[in-house]
Amino acid sequence: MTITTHQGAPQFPTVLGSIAPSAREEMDAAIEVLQAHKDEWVAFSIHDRIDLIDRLIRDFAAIVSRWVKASIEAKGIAEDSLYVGEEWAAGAWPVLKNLRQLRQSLVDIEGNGHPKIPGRVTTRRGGQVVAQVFPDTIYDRIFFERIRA
Amino acid sequence: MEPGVTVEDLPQTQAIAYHDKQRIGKVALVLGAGNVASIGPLDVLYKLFVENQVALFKANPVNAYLGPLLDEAFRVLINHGFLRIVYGGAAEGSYLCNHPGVDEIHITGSDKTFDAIVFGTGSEGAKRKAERAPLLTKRVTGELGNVSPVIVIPGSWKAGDLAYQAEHIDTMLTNNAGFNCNATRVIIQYAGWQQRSQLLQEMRRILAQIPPRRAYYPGAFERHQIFIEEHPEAEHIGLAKEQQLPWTFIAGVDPGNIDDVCFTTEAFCSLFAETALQAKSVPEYIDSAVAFANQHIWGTLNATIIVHPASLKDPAIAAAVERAIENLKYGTVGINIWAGAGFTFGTTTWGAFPGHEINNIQSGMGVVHNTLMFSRAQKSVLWGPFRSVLTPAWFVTRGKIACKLFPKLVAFEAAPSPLKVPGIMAAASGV
Repeated sequence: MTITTHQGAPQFPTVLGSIAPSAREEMDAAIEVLQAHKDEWVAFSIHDRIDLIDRLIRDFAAIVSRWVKASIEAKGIAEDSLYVGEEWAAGAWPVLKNLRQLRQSLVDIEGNGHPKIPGRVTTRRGGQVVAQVFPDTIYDRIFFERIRA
Repeated sequence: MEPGVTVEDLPQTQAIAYHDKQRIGKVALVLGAGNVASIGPLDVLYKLFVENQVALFKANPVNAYLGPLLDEAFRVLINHGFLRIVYGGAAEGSYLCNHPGVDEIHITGSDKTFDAIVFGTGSEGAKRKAERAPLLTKRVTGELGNVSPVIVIPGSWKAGDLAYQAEHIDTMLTNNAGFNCNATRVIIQYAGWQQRSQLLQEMRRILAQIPPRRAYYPGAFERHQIFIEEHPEAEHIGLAKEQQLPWTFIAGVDPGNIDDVCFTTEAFCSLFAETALQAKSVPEYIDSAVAFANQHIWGTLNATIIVHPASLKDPAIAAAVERAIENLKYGTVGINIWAGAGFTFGTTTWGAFPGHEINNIQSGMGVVHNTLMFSRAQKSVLWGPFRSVLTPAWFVTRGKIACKLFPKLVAFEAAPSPLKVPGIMAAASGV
């Protein structure tokens, strides 16, 4: 049952997921592993991070059809529904798009110390600095007609 | 960028996690959202690659079914010990937040959850919040929802303009069945605009063609009911079957009633509202619409402005739109493009306008995505064409094209190649 709210975002009701909640011992063990590796991550070289991202792109692409299928099934969207495109567009595409951009940023950091801003950097009246960040690639220009940010 | 950042300094504000040689590792707890499938992995990637923290991801019970797939896709991070995935609801979340081995927390969810994490629950929590005495002193960032406004700037619109923008606005609601934090909830119009009701009629006409969708997100029916009780005049569009909610539209909400549920509360279901402001002129209307959104509509995540290019030829209107872009206290502002689209672009930041007090957190603190790794970004401003040559594939009536196009765009990002461009362009054109 939802607790009624008249301010802000919802107070969502508690629901049970399709996967049983983790036991405390499992959560403790997970945190222990992460604590043991957190400094290793900070020391992980940019070169190795780029390799990691390549692997993540490959592995996410390998499951992406199942990712979309799981989402539409859970949301009650039929496989031939016209809403399936939404799951590809918002549920899947941004993950690969971000991974590819992060990869490029890492390449730039390795080369110049910081990610390359793809567009112009200007100053508004009043002094506020504005960086144009989209389109980021030549392909963005082709696929996203007259959209910029 | 935030005030104080200069053109010369800008590169030094990027990727700061990569420049701090003394930096020590941290464990970030990421509390996943249940509505959009990409949010969890994107938040994890942000913590790892932008903030340099290893991540403990708690899948949201609503979409916990994605957990095993994420486990498979991000296996390499798990094998290195840089990521763990756990499951559970509020009880597990609370246990993890208070765990001494969790250094920082990021949540995409509700301000109610943020408050519970930071101040605790019940009357004790409320007291702590009032006294600004957090129970938890770890850094907590989050994107916590929004009542997202669209400001329509009046002009001389053709029938095609009205139909196009009506579909644009309807899409901002119908996407994901209305379960988006960036979904439009309040359309602000100029009371003196002769085409105000025409735009509303077009919106109704298009909504009536869109079959109602399953209200899959928990609590939707109860939330919907709250709004209907306060607004019995609400229009129900479409015949909702079992488990579905009709598209629901509340037109002409009194802007003088600033405590109206439509302004103060995120419906997070298939419902939106419209209000109209009086003003002596269009520029004055734009200024008051911005002030109204900033002051009376809850949240600061994203706001959209719709303006005809002919209107921008009037210097007074153009100047007012420039002021609006500057003054809207929102993390993303879209001009002629749903600001919610900024969620997908990646190089843009996604999050609340910076500077909220911990006991009035609104849409949250911090940003995600931001793949250019700015540390002092203030807001992302998107520009789109008032009318595209091709109606965008993400518009609600273009589902057939979207179903063909977006899998191709996904395949493109997996392995970009110029050879894939013609196929993508053909899909976008509906060929």
